Amino acid sequence: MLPDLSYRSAAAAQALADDGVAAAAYASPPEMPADLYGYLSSAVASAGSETAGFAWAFEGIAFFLGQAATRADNQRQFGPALEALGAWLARPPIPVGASLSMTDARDELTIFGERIFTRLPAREQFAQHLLARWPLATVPDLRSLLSELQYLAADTDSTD
Amino acid sequence: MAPLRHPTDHAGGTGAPSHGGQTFPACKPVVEGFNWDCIVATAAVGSPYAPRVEELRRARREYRDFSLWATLISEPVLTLYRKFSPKVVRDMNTDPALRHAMLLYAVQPIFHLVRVVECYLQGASDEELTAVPERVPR
Repeated sequence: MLPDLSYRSAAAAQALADDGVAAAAYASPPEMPADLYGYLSSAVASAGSETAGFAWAFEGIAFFLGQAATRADNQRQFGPALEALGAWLARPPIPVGASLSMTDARDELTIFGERIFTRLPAREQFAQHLLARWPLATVPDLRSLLSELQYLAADTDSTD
Repeated sequence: MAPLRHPTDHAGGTGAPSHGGQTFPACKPVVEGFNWDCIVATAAVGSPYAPRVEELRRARREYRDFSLWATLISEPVLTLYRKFSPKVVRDMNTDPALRHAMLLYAVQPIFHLVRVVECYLQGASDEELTAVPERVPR
């Protein structure tokens, strides 16, 4: 005669069912707005016209999610994370009406060089970002300052 | 007897007490330097005291004012944030799915992004930058 396993099997089935419920809840993402980032973009745009800072922040989120996707895909070879992150950091949004004072620039480039742009590729990219905003024709001394403070190699072409 | 609450200012209290023409100074905040910014993260996580929200607040304090250019870059962003964030918070409070989506796809990525950036600034290598992060309580 077979032992009565109904009690145990019922308990096991219940446990599996409970796990199943939990797994189903985990596997099914919560309902969300069809376009979360579209919603956020419109919220940002409704508050003002200078939205470059948030566009830059969204790029940062995209960088992080891209790295997470790479990891989730079990790829051992990660993307060049440092390079990509440095490139993103080197393109901060410069306010539309910002002017450049060379006295300030020397101090600021020194501080940024010590705290943010300690890696050469990012330093160069930040320098090019500044030169794109303030070309040689408008701020002739900027390039030489960038070279002096080792943001640019002496023979680096400008973006002018 | 305390004065009545202002009829149209639902966020305010009864105002600073006064007596005989003498107005008493406002109370100091419980925690010096504390403010109620990062309200989107607060609404998503559920508490202004959550470690992740504190981290964001600390990072903002640390980076927004470390130099003139940092302030010039961050101030328009923060000004815009102060304008649109109350509406987003209201929407999150009335739509739990939006609140959850904001937590998963905006606030947590930003929190991790800040951590990754700080690792980068501390001179981490590619491997360290992409290492599995330690679990952080919400």
